Amino acid sequence: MKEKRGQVTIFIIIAVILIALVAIAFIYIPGIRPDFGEETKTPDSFIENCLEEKIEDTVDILSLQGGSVDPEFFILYQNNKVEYLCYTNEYYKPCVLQQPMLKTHVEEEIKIEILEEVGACFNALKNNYEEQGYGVSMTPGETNVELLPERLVTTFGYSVTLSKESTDEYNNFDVVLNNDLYGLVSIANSILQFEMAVGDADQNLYMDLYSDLKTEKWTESDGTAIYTLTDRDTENKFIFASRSIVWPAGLGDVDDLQDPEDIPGAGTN
Amino acid sequence: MNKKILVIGIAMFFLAVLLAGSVDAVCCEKLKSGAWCMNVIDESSCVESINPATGAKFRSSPQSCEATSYCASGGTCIDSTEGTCIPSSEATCKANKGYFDPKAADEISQCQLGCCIIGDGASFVTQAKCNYLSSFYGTGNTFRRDVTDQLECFALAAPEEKGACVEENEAGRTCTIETKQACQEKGAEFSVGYMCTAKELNTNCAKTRKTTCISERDEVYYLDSCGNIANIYDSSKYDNEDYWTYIKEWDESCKADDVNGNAGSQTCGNCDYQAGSTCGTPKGENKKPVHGNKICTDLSCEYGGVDYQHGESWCITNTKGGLDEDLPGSEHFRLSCYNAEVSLDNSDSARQKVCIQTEIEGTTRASWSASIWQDCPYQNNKEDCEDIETRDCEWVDEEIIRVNVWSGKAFDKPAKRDRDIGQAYTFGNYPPIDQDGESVDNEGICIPKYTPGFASSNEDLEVENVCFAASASCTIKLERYKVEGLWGGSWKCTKNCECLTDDWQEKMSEMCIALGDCGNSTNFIGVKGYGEQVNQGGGPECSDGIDNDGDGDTDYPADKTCADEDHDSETYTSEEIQQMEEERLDQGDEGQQT
Repeated sequence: MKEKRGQVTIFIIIAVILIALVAIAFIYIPGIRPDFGEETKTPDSFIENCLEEKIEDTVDILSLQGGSVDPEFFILYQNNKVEYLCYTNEYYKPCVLQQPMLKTHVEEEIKIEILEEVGACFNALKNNYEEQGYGVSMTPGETNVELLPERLVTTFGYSVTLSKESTDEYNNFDVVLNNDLYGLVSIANSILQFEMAVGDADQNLYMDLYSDLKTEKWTESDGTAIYTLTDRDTENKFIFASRSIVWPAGLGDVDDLQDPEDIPGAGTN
Repeated sequence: MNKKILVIGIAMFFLAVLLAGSVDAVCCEKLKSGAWCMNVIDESSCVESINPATGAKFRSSPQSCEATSYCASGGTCIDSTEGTCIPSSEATCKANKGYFDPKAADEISQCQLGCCIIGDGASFVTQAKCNYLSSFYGTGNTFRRDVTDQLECFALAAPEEKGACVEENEAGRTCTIETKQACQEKGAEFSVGYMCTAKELNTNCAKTRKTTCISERDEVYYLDSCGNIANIYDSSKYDNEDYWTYIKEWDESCKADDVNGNAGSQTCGNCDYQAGSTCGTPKGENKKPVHGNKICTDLSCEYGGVDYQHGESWCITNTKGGLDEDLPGSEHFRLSCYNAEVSLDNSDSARQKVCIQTEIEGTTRASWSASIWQDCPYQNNKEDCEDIETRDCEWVDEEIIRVNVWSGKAFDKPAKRDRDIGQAYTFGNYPPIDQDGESVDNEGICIPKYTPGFASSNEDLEVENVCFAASASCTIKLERYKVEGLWGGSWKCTKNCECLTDDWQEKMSEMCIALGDCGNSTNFIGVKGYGEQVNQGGGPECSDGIDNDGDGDTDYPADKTCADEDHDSETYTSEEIQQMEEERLDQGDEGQQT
């Protein structure tokens, strides 16, 4: 009797170990999961999964660089190239707005950066469905990026028709990010208006009004102001530079023109 | 006549060539560095390739950018999609594919601002922007062009009345809080001003102890069992049927007038960001609310052992002496308390901007102010000196006397040490000479209110020019009694003897330091400067290590006035001293000695 109980115990232990090994195999070894007949991803979710990270990465990069993926005229700040959105090379003079249509510029930068990936993802979509036995017809379309309050919407004017047992048509794909870059860019525009008009902006005024906004400013030795705007809820940032109505140290010289190349930290591409 | 015209024409031609060659700046539409619309000295800095936005070559011209059509400010860049109008130059606007109008925004009809009313909100924008916003929200708009003031516009914002929107379906009587219009679009039953938990509505929503925060609102709110936002959290009203029947505004809720915005209150969620609180998760066990898990968090800060309210800002400096003692290398900083965080922003070591701190009704506020000090030395009277509308200077009542020791006459022309910066950069004007040849005392001097700093990249000459203004010379008169046929007695000081005192030397040093990073002082990290402050008469001027006459040359052999190391004046050569001595003896003066 005792022997039989011991055998049962051993069998139970072995069974538990086997189940555990199978579970581990399912979790960690790809490609062995059986097809239980669940539905494959829809084209919308496929595109969203394919492009979401690329769009997020692009937004993260340009947000720290004054709205450009590869800034042309910038100052180095904390090892980042921060673009001048308003600049003068002279003393006592207000700055010249370098990006008067900042929101449009940011949208365009994101669009250009993701275009290649968009094409690749739609091709991958086509291949994916063809492998599953679908007949796929795809018409490329225009990619548009739009900064909206509290979200960033990227739309793709592609048209995809899937045929198997039935025919389904998918148009106008989009990826929506929860990101208030629109709000940060609007605040940046307001700050730049002050920079152009009076040579400075008091960043605290914006924190007086907006509870979810953090504004910081750092002044470099050449008079360049680096503004950092942070959404407290999402921690998204927008950083940009401005140089306006700078007083030279000492007596200075009214006619002193400063070549951008001579500016400490300034760089060009 | 024709000859005259020809001569004049040729003269004007050459004049034009001369002027063109002497223009100081060139306006580049775009610099090779990437900057748009900059004045530069060297035209080679300008981009010369084709502008992809216009298809034409990038422009440059030998004049200021303000005089060009492509870079003059005063125009407007219009984004027709979003309806924004931004002051801009033509070059930058077209580079960004905007529509450029050379007129200012207030002269362009499509840039006129009006009141855009969308739903229960109002914003002061252009009509195009209004249409853009309403398309985003998917609703119509009303644009009031007659409203020309932002505050007047905001006053027109009328929150749409909200209430319980009840629908009958398989789940029973479900309810959400909606506006009347939204509810009617659903074809549901709307009860204005009612909560979904109102008993008479007989919905399946009930009160709960759960609380939540809402974006764009400061307060803590109850939630009902259907997930609707209920009234502001007030634990004393939880069992009040009225509180769960009707929608209450914030001023009808608990402690709406609390000066601290109910920060830290465990029973009331009527937070106020302006007063220093907002909805958030409490920190610490003793801060847990009676209901739910949200509280009015305190947004104040603690810094250096001092408590600061949310919104307060104050000035600090990196020197031990504080803001009243600006030493070489010291900088001003402004600290600000917002959302329980202290942030910092700065000026620079040149102190061209200074931090000014004021207290208003117990709240400290700091701001940056440009320090206008460059023309302080030009001011000869207290009224002009302390004109706060024009400059940041202060008047010091001091007597500065310049007397030529050998002739007894005041200087009637700039002394050798003065530079092209002119008389203005000395304390006061040279005193006029009266009939007796005596100098006239100055009444005081005008110095910067906030000691400016000098960037290390400045050429030494510039620093020297400013510091030199504080240079002071004082000639004392010594006498001894002349006995017939014999010299007897010791020299005794009879004039300007205060210059021999430590007090005078200290005052002169303070004035020197007040002009900027001048003089012999200590820098912001406590390191002392080099050299003796004043020649104590311990040795000849030509070997004392001091540039006594301020001409940039120190001692023999650098200073050409010095014949050798024993020569006692860097100002006068031996011949000049000999000549002055002869003049003195001719005039029969008593012996004088500097």
